[in-house]
This record gives sequence, C-alpha cells and structure tokens, in this order.
Amino acid sequence: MNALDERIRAHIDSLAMPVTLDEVTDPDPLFKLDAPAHRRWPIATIAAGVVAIAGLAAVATIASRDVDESSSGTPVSPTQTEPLRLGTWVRVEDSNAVFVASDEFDRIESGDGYIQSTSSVRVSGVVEFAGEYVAVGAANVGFRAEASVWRSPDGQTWTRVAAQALSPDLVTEPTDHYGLSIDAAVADGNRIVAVGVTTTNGARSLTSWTSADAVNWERHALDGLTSGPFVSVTGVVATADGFLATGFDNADPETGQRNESFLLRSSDGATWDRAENAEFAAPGVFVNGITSFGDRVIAYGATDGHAGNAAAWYSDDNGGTWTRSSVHDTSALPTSSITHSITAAETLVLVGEQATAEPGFDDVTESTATQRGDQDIAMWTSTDGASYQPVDTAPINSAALDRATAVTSGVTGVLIAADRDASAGTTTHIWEWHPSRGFIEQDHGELASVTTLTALPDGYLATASDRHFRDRDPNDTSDTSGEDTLVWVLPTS
Amino acid sequence: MDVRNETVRQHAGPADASFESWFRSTEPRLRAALVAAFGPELGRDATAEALSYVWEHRDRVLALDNAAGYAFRVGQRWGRRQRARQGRRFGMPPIESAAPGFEPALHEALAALSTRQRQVVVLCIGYGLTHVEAAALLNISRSSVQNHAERGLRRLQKAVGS
Repeated sequence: MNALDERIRAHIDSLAMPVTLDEVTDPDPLFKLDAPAHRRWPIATIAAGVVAIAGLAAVATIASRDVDESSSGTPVSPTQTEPLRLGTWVRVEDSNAVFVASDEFDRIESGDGYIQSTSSVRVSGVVEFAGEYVAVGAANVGFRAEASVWRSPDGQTWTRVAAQALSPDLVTEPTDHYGLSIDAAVADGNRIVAVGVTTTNGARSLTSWTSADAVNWERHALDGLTSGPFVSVTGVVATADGFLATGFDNADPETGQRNESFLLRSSDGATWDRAENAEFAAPGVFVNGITSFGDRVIAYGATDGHAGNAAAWYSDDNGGTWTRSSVHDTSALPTSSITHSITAAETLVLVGEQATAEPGFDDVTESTATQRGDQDIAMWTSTDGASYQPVDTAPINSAALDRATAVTSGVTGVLIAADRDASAGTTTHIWEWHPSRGFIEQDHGELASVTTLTALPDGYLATASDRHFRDRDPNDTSDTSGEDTLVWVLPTS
Repeated sequence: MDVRNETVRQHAGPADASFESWFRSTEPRLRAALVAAFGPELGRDATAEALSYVWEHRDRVLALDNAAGYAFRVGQRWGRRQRARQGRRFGMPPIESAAPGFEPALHEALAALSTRQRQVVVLCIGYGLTHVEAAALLNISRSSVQNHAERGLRRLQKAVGS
C-alpha cells in the first residue's frame, strides 16, 4: 500500500480534477466572458472530467439536471455558456449602523443670514486590500467632518474603524465647516494610501493617511502644497515607484479664481511633493482622475474649461513626463470631459460626458458654457493607453442621462451608474456594457444616487447616498435633511 | 487559428509568465484546501473561481506577500456564499467513484474529521506543505496548524492505518 501522503493526494485528485491554466485565463482579449472560465468548458472536456470524478453512472444523473439545478458551477451543460445573468440589487442591512448619519444639526448666524449643516455619511471610494473591502470617505456631524474608514470581509457586514489618527480633534473656531475628509484611496501590496482635505478656520490643506492593515492609521499633514480656499483631491494611484495624486486648488488665492490642476508625487504615501507640470497647470485644464494601465499611468479630464475637450495624458516614467493623447473628436463632440476610468482585462475604458449641442453662452460667467440638461454619457476605449476609440453610447443616452456617477468592471463586463436630472428629481440608471453585447440596462430597483461601484467575486457592490428629510426644525423643513449611505449588492443568478 | 487566443498571446508578457509559475505551484494546494472545506464540486469550483479572480487581478494580487492566502480567501468567500445560496451539503459528502485513486475508506475517514483538521491533514500530509506554509494559506497560526495536524492525523491513522 502506498504511503498515506500519496493516498491522500491521489484521493483528492480523484475527487476534483486539477484546474487547468486555460480554464482561468481569459480567452477574450478584452473582457472576462460572461461566465467564469470553468463554466465555459467544451462539452467533451466537461464529460471527461465528470467521468473521471464520478463515473459513468454519475454522468447520466448530472446530465439530466437542468441549468438551475447545476448552478454550483459544475460544467455540465452547454447551455451554461449563456451570459451570466445578474440578479436584482439587494440592500445590505446596516446592522451596526455604521453608515447612518448623526442627528446633529448646526446653524449659526452669519451677517444677514446663517450658515448651517446637517449630518451625513458619504463613501468616496472602496478598495480591496488583504482580502477585505475597505471603504473611505467622511462622516459629517453638523459642521465637523470626520475622515472615516469602514471594513468588510464580504461587502455584506461592515464595521467602522475607530482610529484617532483618522480624524483627530482640531483646534478650530467652530464657526463654519471644519474637519477632515478622505476623497480617494488606493492599495498596493503593502499598504493603503488615502488622500483628502483638512479644513480649519476656513483654510483647506491636503492630508494623506497610510495604513498597513486598514485598522491602524497614520495621518500626514501636507502643508504648503496647495493654495487658496479651495482644494480638492480627484484621484490617487499606485505606480511602480510610489504614488501619484491629482486634484485642484486656486491658482489665484487673492480672488479664489481660476482653478489649477495639480499632480503630487510620493514614494511612501506619507511625504509628498508637487510636481511641476505645465500641461496640467495650464488654464482651463481639469484633471478629473488618475489610473494605471499596464506600465502606464493615465490622467484624464478636460481642457479648455467649461467648453471642455475630453483629454487624457499618459506617462511611461511613473508620472515624470506626460504625453497628451488624442481623445476628443471635435467634429463629433462639441464639448466633452472624462470623469471616470476602469480597466477591464486588456482594455482601458474612460467614461465621461459630452454635449449634445454646440456650447451655449453662460450669462453668469460671461463665457461659453454647455447648458445643463444637454449632457450625454460618453465612452472611449483604449488597448494601449495612448490612442482611444469612441464607443457608441446612443443606446443609453436615449434615457437622457446627465452624468456617470460610478463605474466598475466585473464578472459581466463594465457596470455604469448614471444619473438623470429632471424637474421631478434625480433618477439613477444602471447599465452593463460588454463589447460584444453592447449596453444592457439593469433593473436598479430602489437603488439610487450611486457613489461607488465595486466588483465582487460573483457580483457587484454599490454604495449610495440616501438623502432624506429629518424633522429637526419644523420652521425650516427644506434644509434639515440628513444623508446616510446605503450599501447594496447585486449577485449573479 | 483562434484569433482571440492569438490576441491573448500577443498581449502576454512577463506578468503572464509569473502568473503561470505561481499557478503551477498554488493550484494543487488551493484545490486541496477548498475541496477539503467544500467537497469535490463546490471546492473545485471555488478553486477555479479564485484562480480566475487572481488572473484578472494578477498585477495586484501577485504583488502581495501571501498571494496564495489571498486566493484562498477569495475561494472561501465564494464557496461560503454559494453554499448559503444553494443550501448544499458541504464538507466531504458520501460519494461513489470509479476514478483512479479514489478510496472509499479514506474518504469516510477524511469526512469524519473537522473541516480544519481535514484541510490541514490534506495540505500537510497529502501535499507536503510545512506548518508555516499551511498557516499562510489558511490564514491561521502555525500552532493551530500543528494542533489540527496532530489530532487529525491521529484520527485518520486510527481509521485507515499509516
């Protein structure tokens, strides 16, 4: 008799054939196909595998099942090569109430009027780190903003991280909004780096946080990197030699006019410097985000201000030098901008807005501007991060969408959440896109105002803003609404 | 020629080679651990699911210190969800098989172990992982692995001999 070790190994192999490399590597150069690879076996391979595992008698039994009965994923029927179907969005119970806003409400007199703030909880990003989902954002308690982090092993159960370093008490005059918020985060193999803003006494400055476990955090004040009363972070990305972050501040702190895009570099997420970059600092350039694609780093946004032209730049030296790509087709798009990006296997997908008509004239700013309500969703794809091809978005724009709010890629392709503004309120639409099937609208149920989308192993995770009235001040009901975050999951069926 | 596969090869680079190397060393132990946890069908599916996930995110996952442990958690999470959704029996259900290597008595003895004991015995005895390697894969402590291995092996040897 063979030794026990050999017997065990042979027994396990007899129960479950080895998974082959071909099963898990995607034969589609653009996207993972509709079903996981192991569900796409040719029938001959399937039959051979089943024979080896359970014998001919079992084959007859299994083959007689219908598709639903074999939903464990065992490859038994050629009909399973049909696209994976998405179920319906299910709201995750917030049993720990970690996404529920405080009841606090602040209001102070200011000149002839007053400044006030309700409370809110907002998620600005979700990253995967060490087998967990880590959400970042801010919990606003009246005037005070608290940089916040939540953790979940599966997207279903969430806890909020209690770390003093995330949002320490600030020495400030409580006469207006103050505190800290996280605007963007990224994880590399060793740590999470989050970037956001600190507001004290009317001044805003950049702040970063680093953590090796998503539980314990270090805060790093980045004073002197930005100027003016307005600072905003639009994205952060990990590169081969560190991190890059993008955002805006005021080029003219005296007047608060003319936003200027900035690019920050860091080797460790703790210390940062502002990169000199004339391209991004040029008037009218809006860098709305940054991502990586293979060995390239891609920044995207728009040029020419409000009459924008969608623009993307790539860098082959981790942000040292940048080359502008040709994205905008002036003959087809009067104005456009890019607001979101996602990498789906070998393809970079950029999503943004485009105007449906020539820009109008804005009486307030006395400049050329696209009138609200004339926006459509625009998309471009690239396989090299340098050249782009437009995607025909006419199928989804029949819904008169105004802007994309979140994008991700997962088991069924690319998922896009977009809002439509109407006099009756804002409505949300969810679209699934795959290059071979085009756009498919998903039933979003009661899901609305999506702030982030994240791929799960077998579905999707969404966070959404839930603005609701709270009867705190019966004399001024219009302004006393709070804003919770709701978490939803969309499983495959 | 399959044009799509040819395109994949054109895109294939160093990351794919590193994935293949990682795949060759990880697949057997990952499959063993997940089959021990979820049984043959669900365990194998969970293995394929986890490896597909790593393939899709290979640039990031393979940079992790413990990519195999990460893959195990992906497979475990997927398997648990499927199990909950389907209400399926898991572990090592009774099975009849004519496949080479299948031992009914060994199967019964493995099925009698706790899930963790079964995982550790299969990994450390069957696939020769050290306690440290098994601990990293299963995300438990080395001392836990040692305890499960000792108790599980005693019970297994009592049932089927050494």
